[in-house]
Amino acid sequence: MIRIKSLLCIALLSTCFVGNVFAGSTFSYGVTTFFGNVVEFFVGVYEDGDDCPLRICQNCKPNTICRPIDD
Amino acid sequence: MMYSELREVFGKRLISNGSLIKFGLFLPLILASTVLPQETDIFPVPDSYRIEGIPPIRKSEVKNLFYDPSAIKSNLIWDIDRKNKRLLVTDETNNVYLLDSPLSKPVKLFDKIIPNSIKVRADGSSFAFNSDHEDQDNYQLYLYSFKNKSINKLVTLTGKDESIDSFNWDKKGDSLFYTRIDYDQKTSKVCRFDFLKEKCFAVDLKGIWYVMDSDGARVLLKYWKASGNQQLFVFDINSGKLTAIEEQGNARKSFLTTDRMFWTSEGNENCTSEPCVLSRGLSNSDINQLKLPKDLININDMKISPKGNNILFHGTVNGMDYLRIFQLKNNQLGEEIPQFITGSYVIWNTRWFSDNEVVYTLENNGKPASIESFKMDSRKTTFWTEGRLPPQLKNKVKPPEVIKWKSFDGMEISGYIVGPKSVRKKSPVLIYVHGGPQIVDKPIFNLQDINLASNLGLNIIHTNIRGSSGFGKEFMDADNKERRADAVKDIRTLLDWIEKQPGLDATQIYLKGESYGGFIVLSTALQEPNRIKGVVAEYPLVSVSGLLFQNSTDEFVKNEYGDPADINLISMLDGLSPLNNSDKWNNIPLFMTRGKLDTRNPEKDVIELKNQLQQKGSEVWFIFSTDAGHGFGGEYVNAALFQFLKKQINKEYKEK
Repeated sequence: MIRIKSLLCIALLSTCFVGNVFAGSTFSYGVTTFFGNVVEFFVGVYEDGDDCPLRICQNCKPNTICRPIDD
Repeated sequence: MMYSELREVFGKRLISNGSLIKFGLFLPLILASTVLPQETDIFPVPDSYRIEGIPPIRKSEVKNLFYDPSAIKSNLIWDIDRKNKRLLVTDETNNVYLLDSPLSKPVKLFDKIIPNSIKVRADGSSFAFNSDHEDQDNYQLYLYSFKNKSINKLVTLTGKDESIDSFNWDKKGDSLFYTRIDYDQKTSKVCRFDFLKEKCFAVDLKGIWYVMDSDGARVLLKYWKASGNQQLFVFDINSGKLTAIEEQGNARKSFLTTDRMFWTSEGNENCTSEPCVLSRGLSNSDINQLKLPKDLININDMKISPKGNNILFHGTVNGMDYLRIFQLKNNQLGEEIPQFITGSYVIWNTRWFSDNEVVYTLENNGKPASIESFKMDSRKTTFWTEGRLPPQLKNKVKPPEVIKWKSFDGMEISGYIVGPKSVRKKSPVLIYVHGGPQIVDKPIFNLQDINLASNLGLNIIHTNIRGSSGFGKEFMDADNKERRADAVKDIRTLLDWIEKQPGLDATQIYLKGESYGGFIVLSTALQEPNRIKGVVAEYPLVSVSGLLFQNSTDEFVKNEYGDPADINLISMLDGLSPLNNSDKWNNIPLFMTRGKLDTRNPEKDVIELKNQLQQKGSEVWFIFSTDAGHGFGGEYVNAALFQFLKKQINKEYKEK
């Protein structure tokens, strides 16, 4: 019985430490934004500027790569 | 719990040797750990988001979508400092870096400000840029000084809805020319800032005007009447005279030399063949057409070398970019420099270092962007940056395959497929429709494609339906006004094409569109109740009539979409949207986003559509951001979008 309870304790601690393992991975636990230090999807764009005014066709999203407009 | 009870539960040995006391110190941690793993595995919803219909997302299920930034390297050119032969570049984080020499470490100049455009002063001491980081869609003009390492705002905007969308240095770098566009009053002013004061000239410019080039005394201006009617004017700042250069045709690209102006033209009476590049003397107004080789087609860009000895052309044929350089003698093309870029690439941001050297960016769907330059006399290529990918992203997708299909009226429509390397017998399909619509989708390095293809087995078909740029004026205008429905038919005929492809699963077709592309995919799903299995509409236009009744860009929008006073047209356009037609919506699952600060598309239409479909019992995943505008995205949006598609695909396979 004692042995089983000890295993339970180890299991609980292991579960707890799993979270810390993530802290060292690509996830940045504890920073302001959860994935604040990672690259997310790129925007699939385009050549803006030639055929459409900025306010109509400029679709760059914050925190994603945008192709510099070549005007 | 009493000591005796603890002793009963944990046994004598633990208690007697004090282990339980130590254990007690860990107890809160242990108890917390039974809860925390579940809580911390849930992807947090940003405080500024209001979500509806989206189940909790486990981080563990979406962790493959995100990467350490140091694992990916992708650089593009902002502009060049010709005098000091160095580059201003961006990377996957959009910061602005200075690259002093080939393959040197880029030095970050500033972050958290994403310019729209950067232009370096002729003496290399500073650069001007415009950015809307203070107020979305309202661009302001700034100057970065290399010496002081500081940024100064150059002009204070005073109008209710003013923006400096375009600017240009004069050739000497003494002053900046720009237009102040007042989107509230629907007028533009041409202005000059000489670093002492701003002077705006007394010329009445109605609508949206851009500065294209300037030589100190003359300013080349573009008037955006419509995408297919971009008009060209020269403004003389001394006389105050505005002279029309091109009013009937379409002048997309233009520049000034010492004695002439050059521009690409479509539909001008002086053009005897297409594509057409015209030049006109600044003093005598004589007009010449450049004699272009017959295989030089689909010109997207042209740039003259600093001393005017060479001219480069950049364009696209069959989905692949070309960069071709010719000598320029007596205002006509001379010998062509043998082509030096081999392979299938998207080419960006060409610049002339000198009359002998050109610099550019290359990328494709499997290769992040990198920068190289080419010297014509020695035919030597210099690599300025090298793209980099983490191993888990390499060789995940097949090279892009250009596809073409005939639409209902015989018009040829094209796009490209990005598919997973490892394929099933038949793979699900995601059709992507870009916004605009006057832009073109090219097979750039695209992490989203790689993720969706490799993790969900999706074949992603990027489309350039009618209305897209890069295929000529006629194609770009083919969706105007009452022809809006024809653009939807382009996607419907693509569904027919998919049904004939042995590797594509026509029973698993999903649609994704942003902005205007959102309108097209919503409309397609309305008309295709059975063939579409899910729709992603990011910050969509939901109703064309709603846009016409609210949009501040007015004349340009009217020319593209029609006159709101035309009752028959509005009735037809309203029939294209699921808004107020929800009875015809076949409960196709919908993922939709909307930013509170989005001033381009009417909010009430989006909310109303969401409500109507929810009331009808449709599955709707909805994200409303209270602090974002048009084009918003982010980690949570990407994770939710991925989960939405994953759920729909799995559901379809289970049903089978």
